[in-house]
Amino acid sequence: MNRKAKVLLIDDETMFTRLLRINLERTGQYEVREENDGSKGYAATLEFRPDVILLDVMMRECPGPEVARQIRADHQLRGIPIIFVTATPIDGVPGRDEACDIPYITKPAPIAQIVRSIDRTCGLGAKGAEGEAA
Amino acid sequence: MRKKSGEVIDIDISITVLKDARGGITGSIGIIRDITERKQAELKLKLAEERYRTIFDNSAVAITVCDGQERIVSWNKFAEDLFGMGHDDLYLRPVSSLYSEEEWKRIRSFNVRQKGMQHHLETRMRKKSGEVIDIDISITVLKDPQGSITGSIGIIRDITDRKRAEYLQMIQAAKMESVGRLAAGVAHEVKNPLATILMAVEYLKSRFAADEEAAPIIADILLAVNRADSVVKGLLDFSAPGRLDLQENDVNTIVERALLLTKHDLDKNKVLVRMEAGRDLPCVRLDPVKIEQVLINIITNAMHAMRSDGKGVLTIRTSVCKDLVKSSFEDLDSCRWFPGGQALLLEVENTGPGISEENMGRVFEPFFTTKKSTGEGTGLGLTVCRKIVELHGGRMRLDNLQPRGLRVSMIFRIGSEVAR
Ligand SMILES: Nc1ncnc2c1ncn2[C@@H]1O[C@H](COP(=O)(O)OP(=O)(O)OP(=O)(O)O)[C@@H](O)[C@H]1O
Ligand SMILES: [Mg+2]
Repeated sequence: MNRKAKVLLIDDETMFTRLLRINLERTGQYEVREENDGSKGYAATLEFRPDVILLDVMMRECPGPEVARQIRADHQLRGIPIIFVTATPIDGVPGRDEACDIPYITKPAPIAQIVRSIDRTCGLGAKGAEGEAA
Repeated sequence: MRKKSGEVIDIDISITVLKDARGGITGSIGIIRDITERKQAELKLKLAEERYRTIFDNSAVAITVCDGQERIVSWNKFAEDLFGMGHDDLYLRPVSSLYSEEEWKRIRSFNVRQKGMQHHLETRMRKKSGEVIDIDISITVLKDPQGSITGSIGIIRDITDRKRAEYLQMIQAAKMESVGRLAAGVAHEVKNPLATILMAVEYLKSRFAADEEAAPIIADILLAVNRADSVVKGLLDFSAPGRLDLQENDVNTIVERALLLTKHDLDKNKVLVRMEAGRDLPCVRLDPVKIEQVLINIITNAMHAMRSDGKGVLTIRTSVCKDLVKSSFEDLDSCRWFPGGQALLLEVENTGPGISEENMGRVFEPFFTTKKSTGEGTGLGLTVCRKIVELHGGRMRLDNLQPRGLRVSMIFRIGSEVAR
């Protein structure tokens, strides 16, 4: 990868996204954008055109699977790989079944694991990646 | 009468005495009919009746017979016991008085008199003592050849125990559900801040990697985060072991995988592993990931228990238990759940000190641990293990070994069917 991979963080935990952004940026490999309002997740994706999206599942404004649905409904964005980042058990989350091909990472996850997931997902491109699904 | 041949026949005889004009007896006329056949038919009927009477009286269900006006006219012993009523209480008692007004209305709504029968209607009846019991009643309406109703037969089973069990199960399920929701809420509120702390610590770690004073502090924070995380994880596992993904599995393969995953730690603790894999084991339906989780928990416990020994031995054995009644599972309530009293047996033994008598009864309690001081235990390991095994319809138990050591035994149902 010559240019930095663009990573979009959609998560309503502002402290978390800020620290995750700092840690990812310190590796020198990523350009990171934070979006803390789930309902603006789609708009942020449209504007930023990331290579990968880390998407929280339980968000106040709009649940993660719904954001994923909106993004995938747009044919221009459909190919962008998504990784769920979740603090709660993901089974039984509304909308999870439709988005069951999306891999997930559970919080708290060490930065090394997050980096591994991002790289693997970007490496595989758009064809739905096997993440660190626990 | 005896025939010439010696054969005895049943007869019906009418005798008329003949008298002369003065009243003197002059003779008699006997009209004799052979009624052997009729007699036999009567006898047969009597036998049949007796047979039915026996069935009626000795049935392990209550049977009541009502007349056309829905009054009880006949019943068996079991009915008396069930209602706690005697002859005087029951004879000609309107059957409706056994039900509450509401239930009677409900029964009426089934139009049994029109349909002619109703099987397995679940309702409630009142005993003489006023106690209300749950029953299952099947009703058959009796009609004469002209089609008018002459009565009805009710066959009644007491299902109070079953209903109570169902109710308790429902409460338990509701409880588990609310615990599950609570746990998910806790997970969200605890794991998010933990994720933030972890990110912060990792930042500090990368900044102060060379700082001799900071490094151990950072390592401690990481340990604390891990510990808090594993408590929440355990809580989640406990409250929602989730749906099982059942597949027909070779237990030995699952065991080997669990051993592979723990190999590093086992080697580090110098534990000698002995695998006694049964051959040609029948298939069992298991969730391989969940059973692996169970095994890892048990192996970890064994490792902790044997650490001070230096020369610990861990034995894992798979086999078919041919007779549960003779095994340590003999007190098993539900042998019928294990067809033929057989089961697949999975045993994990270690040569550690075992569990003291007073702790034995508590190790399955959530959060019971003797490892608090070392920070290695949350006390949820065995709780979750047992829950997972029981979700499979299996059973789990612990036994101390002589002269020392502990055996964890698990049994699973053989075959492809699984339920609770
Ligand atoms: N193989 C064993 N030998 C001796 N004691 C044991 C063994 N397995 C379990 N115990 C006792 O049972 C207790 C409860 O075990 P359990 O696995 O539920 O929790 P834990 O190991 O303390 O913590 P964790 O939740 O991390 O597993 C242990 O603390 C220990 O005292
Ligand atoms: Mg344990």
